[in-house]
Amino acid sequence: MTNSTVVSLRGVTRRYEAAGPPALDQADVEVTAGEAVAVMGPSGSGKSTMLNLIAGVDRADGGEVEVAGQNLGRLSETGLAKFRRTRVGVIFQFFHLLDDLTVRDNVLLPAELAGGSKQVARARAAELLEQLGIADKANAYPARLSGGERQRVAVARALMNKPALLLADEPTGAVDARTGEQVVELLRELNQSGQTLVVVTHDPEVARHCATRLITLRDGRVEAGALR
Amino acid sequence: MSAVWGSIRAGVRRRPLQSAVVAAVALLSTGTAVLGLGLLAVSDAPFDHAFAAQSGAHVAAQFDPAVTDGTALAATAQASGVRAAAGPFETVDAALSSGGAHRAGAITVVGRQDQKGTVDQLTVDSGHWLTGSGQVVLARGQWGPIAQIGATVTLTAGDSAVNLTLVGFAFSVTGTADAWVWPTQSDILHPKASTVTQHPTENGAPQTAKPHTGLQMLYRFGSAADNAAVNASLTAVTDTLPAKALSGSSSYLTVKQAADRSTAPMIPFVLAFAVLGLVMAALVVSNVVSGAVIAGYRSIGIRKTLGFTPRQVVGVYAGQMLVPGIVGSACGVLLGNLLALPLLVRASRAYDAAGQYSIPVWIDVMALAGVVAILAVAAVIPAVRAGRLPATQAISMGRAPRAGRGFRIRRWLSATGLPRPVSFGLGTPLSRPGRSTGTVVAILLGAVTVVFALGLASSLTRVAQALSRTDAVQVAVPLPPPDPAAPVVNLDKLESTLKAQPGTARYVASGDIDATLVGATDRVHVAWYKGDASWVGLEMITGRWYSGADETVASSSLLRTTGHHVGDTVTVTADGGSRSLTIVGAYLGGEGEGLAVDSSALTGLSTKTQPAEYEVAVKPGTSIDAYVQAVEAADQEVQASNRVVDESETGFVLMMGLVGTLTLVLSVVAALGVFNTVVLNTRERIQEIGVLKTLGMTPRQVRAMVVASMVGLGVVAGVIAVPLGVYLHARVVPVMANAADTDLPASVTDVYHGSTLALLACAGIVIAVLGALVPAGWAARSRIAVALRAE
Repeated sequence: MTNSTVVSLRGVTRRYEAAGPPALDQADVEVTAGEAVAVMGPSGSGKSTMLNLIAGVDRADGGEVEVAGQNLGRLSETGLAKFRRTRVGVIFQFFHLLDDLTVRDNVLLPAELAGGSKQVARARAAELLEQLGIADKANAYPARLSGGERQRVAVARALMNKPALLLADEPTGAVDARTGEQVVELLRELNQSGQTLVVVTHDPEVARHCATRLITLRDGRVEAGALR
Repeated sequence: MSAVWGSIRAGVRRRPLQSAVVAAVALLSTGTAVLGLGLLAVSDAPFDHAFAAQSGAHVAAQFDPAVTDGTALAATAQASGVRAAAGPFETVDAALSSGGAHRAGAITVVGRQDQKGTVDQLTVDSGHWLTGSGQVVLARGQWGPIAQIGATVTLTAGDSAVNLTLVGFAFSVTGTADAWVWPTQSDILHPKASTVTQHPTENGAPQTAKPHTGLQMLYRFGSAADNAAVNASLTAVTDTLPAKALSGSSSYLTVKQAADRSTAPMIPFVLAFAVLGLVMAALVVSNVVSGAVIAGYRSIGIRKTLGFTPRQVVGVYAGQMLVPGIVGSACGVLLGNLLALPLLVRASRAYDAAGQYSIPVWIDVMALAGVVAILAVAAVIPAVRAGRLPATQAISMGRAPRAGRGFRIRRWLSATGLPRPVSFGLGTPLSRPGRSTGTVVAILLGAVTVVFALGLASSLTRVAQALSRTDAVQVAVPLPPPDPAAPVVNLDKLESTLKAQPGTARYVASGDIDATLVGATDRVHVAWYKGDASWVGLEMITGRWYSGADETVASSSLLRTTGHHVGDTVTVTADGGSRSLTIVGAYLGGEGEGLAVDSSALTGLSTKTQPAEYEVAVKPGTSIDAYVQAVEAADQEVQASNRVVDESETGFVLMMGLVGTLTLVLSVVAALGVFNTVVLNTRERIQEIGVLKTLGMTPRQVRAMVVASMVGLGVVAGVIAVPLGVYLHARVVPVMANAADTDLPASVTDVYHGSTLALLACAGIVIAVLGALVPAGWAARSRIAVALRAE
């Protein structure tokens, strides 16, 4: 693993049932800083499993997962929580915004969980909202936003603590085609500004437009990696 | 119907935690119901039940063996109106001692072979009944703390002093004897007459003591409803005997009145606990079951989509609750009986009755049927509602709480600046107001129980302290009763010994006489003190301590019984004459206490001026046992005793145990209600918890959030519980006092103070936190990947 490596999976295996086939089987993957990697494959191929392992929301049964310099297998649950809040940002397919918080408060949430200066956090949130074009929605509640706006809020929340890695799980899966295009464009812009990105998608168009490299999974094994 | 049954079985298996919670709640609720109803049953006329169970004697009659004989007495069993009789038993009045310690006064010893007969079937509390001569069984309360089973006790009557082995303690509901010996124990039943010089009287004349012996018959009459009926029946018996054969008798009605007086104070607080328990059991069961059905709305919607009819839906969900519920309730009946047994024994002992120590079957049936009925109603109502809903609506309602509920308050909480996990947690209950209200009420009842119980325990402790007076008088030096074998105690030497002890703070000589008083049907016990006795610990309710020979203080109980008041002047008559005394104060006195006077008041009233004991207060920090040993070493004619140990009130200890156990049980039931609510809330919000964990919420923050979700409810319940608990205490304690025919000093009723109340307000929080801790731990350990898939 070099200094520029953000994600390193070495011989990673994940099994949900002891006697069943592995969901991820001896996977070796490296993602370097500034890359945008799309992970593709059919249903049940292990895409979400790989994303969960990189995000630190699940633990591997074998192999080593190293993200942003942290060996996740050696972290306690609390250590993993602190890793998630500072080193990675996750964008969910269904946004998972909290309905009773305003847009600004949703974006501030990771910073509030991490503690630190409220003033700095508010300035960062304002900067992100401005950057993502939703500053005028800062005091609105998620229920009043369009799908595209909600996904932008989710992106802002994911970027709040300046993570080394941005993970997106089917980011266009719950929005219409036009909004999907906007989301893809946003991800591409983020990558072009230096943000390392791993996108799980089943849509080849999304992969083609926002990824610099493609990883294909089949039955839990990494089949191919291709540069755009 | 097989689809319904299959769904029921699948539902029970698929949600093992929910099934376990329903079963546990049913178990504890049924157990609590059995316990509550059992306590109510044992509180229902315990003397009457004990009297019936023992075939108690309507009359214990004492006959003079010089006038009649056993054959004539045995024939009285056939007299008109006699339904059953036992005896004749030989009796003797004797002094009781063991290991050098003497019991004050004479006891009645009865020669009796059968423990169980047709009349007065004795209950053996511990040890065993007599199996032959050389043994003695003492009545309950006779020296239990001092003489243990296996000890040698000495019965002295006249010139006869007989050593016997104590083999047991027994209980006669009407107190037909203080001790029982084998009928052939003639060395004590036929004692040698005493003609030697006893303790001299004040003028130096010798006294003689004749052993008092007799023959006892125990009768049950066909008609014994009141004193007139009892007297008429007894007259029919004595008519068959020579005149003056009857030397004395005691009616069960006298014992019943005394027993009812001592039982009555117990009933209000036992009732209060029983009602709290029953209400809480019903509430928690309905809250848990309705919550579980609502949580299953999504599955209900899916089943309707598959073609289940509304009736089948109701059947499935009522069944899913009833199967574990019935299993839990059945186990709860067993648990309730096991739990109730020691409590019923305690309650019966506190009532001083040989009450029933098992739960009647009708209570088991009623508790089981009641809890299952509540389960069924609590399950059917929301299931019927779900059955009527369109399938899609049921699915959406079951997925998560309806958005918008309590939205403003949750937004306000978000803006308060509280740590996010705390503000999230505090806002959680607002999304399920019905469930949260039920939870608040459950915590409230638990907290009310705690507030009430702690107040009651404080009051009982203070009453016990006031009655035992151990705070004021720690050491007693009793003077032995007249005994030809014992030397006369030199009082001057004893006082010098007490004065010489560095640990002596104060001491006073005391004695007592029996007297009559206008308005009192029984003889009144008059305690006298030689010197200042305002410090001996009689807890004043009103008025002041006496000062002089013409003043007295009276127990509140005596004033109530006789209708006298503080300020009245009463005429007291004793063996030496009469004297007018002005009542200047009322104190909290125990059973049998009457008046307290200065020894100067004995002039013209009684010739019995010999002190019965010295009461001693030791200086703070003095070892009481060391003090007792020092006194006995310095004056070997006396034996001092540690009153702090000897005067501990067994009845109060039992009551406190009862209060403590009931409080614990009810608090656990309340905490289980909280547990269930947290489980349901967490299950509904598992995806939100997954998101928060993904965003970096640590396990500790998750735990804090979940616990905080109940803390708010605990605060609300605790704050409401304090005034309710204080109110309950303020209502119940005076009812208990009234039942005991006494007033209470403010120190007994005013037990709640600012700091205490503030602490008690936390009772709700404690119950809430304890109930939430376990599921909060589960939430903290929940796997994010699984939680996020729970769509």
